[in-house]
Amino acid sequence: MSAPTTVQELSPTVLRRRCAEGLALMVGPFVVRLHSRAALLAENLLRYYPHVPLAREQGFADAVITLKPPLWRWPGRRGWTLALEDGLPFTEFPARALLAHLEWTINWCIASRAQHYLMLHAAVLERDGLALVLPGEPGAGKSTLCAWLMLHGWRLLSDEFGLLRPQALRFDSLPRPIPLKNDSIGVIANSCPTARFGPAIDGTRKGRVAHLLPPAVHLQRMGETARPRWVVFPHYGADSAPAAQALHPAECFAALTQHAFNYALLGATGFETVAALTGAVDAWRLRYASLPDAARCIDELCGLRAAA
Amino acid sequence: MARSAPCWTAAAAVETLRWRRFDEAWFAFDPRSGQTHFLNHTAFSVLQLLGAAPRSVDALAAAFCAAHAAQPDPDLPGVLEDTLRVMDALGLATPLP
Repeated sequence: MSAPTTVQELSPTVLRRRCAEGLALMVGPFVVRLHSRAALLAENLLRYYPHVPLAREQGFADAVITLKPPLWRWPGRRGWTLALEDGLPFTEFPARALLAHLEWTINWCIASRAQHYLMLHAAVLERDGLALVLPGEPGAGKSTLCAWLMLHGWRLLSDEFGLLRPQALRFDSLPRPIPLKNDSIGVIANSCPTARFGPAIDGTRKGRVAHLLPPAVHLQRMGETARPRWVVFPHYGADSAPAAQALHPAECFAALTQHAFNYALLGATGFETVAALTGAVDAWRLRYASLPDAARCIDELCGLRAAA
Repeated sequence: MARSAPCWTAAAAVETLRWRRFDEAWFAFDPRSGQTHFLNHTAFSVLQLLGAAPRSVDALAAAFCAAHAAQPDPDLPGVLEDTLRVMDALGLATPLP
């Protein structure tokens, strides 16, 4: 019998034992080791990460995250917490918010540790080996549009971090749950009945948040990279007719430097990589009010559909 | 006694800049400061002329017109002086003492 390769192939009993010892998962190109004796972790993994690949048990881990239960005898520690290697806990949370806090902790690890990539604050999706980059300013609708495209023919590479390898100039795949906020949750849930979500969490800094789970096949194709080909800066406006405006490469270059988390940190490598990325893509600004219109417009821009 | 107009020269940092051009727009990365500068064609041309030789603003205006086959423009020295002051602040050009 072959060894289990994904979370769902482990029986609940074995999964819980492996979590107590430290369960290593492939999160895109990263190995994350999760650790807890609490049943809550194994339950959440089976429910929300069933198709996530397992990593080698004894290998290197980019991050070790430990789930700690509430300490009822300590008046100030009534919630669950997650901690990294140093043992210092992040903020407390109720049990039903584990998925969200685990995702945010992984974000923290990637943002602070993955400096060998040019990290764009962008969603990245793929078709036929070519990458569409959607850099997002807060409120631009990046995640909602990314979710819609993921559910309509595009493969999710990443929602929060566009991971571009500087030398190879290829995007790595980091297919993780997409955090949708407020009205976007209902928009996607109502229009895509097959979409699967984690629990909705109220009262976050951005309001109500629920994580949309990526399709299993996107996780199975986690090892496939993509060559950058298109950049679209989305701008949602309730009264906007769909309109795409081509961006001059100089505008694209300047905007991409603003959307790279670690541009300054990478120094000359960041400059050269953004310049190479700019030279490799066609770029537009896209104003839209409806997701089907935006998707149709993007497909036309990318040559996947004839212009109306 | 009237003071003579200062000569301007390209700053030493210019030699180490890394350049990328997109049509008429130039981007320069300064590895010493970590800053990225955007230069339009005029600013890039000014930096090239100063790199070739230190010049006063008037001499720079004349060299600029010659390089671009343009007629002398009485407003050009003022424009170039403003450009030089910005370049000075960015560490790209400097007045000679």
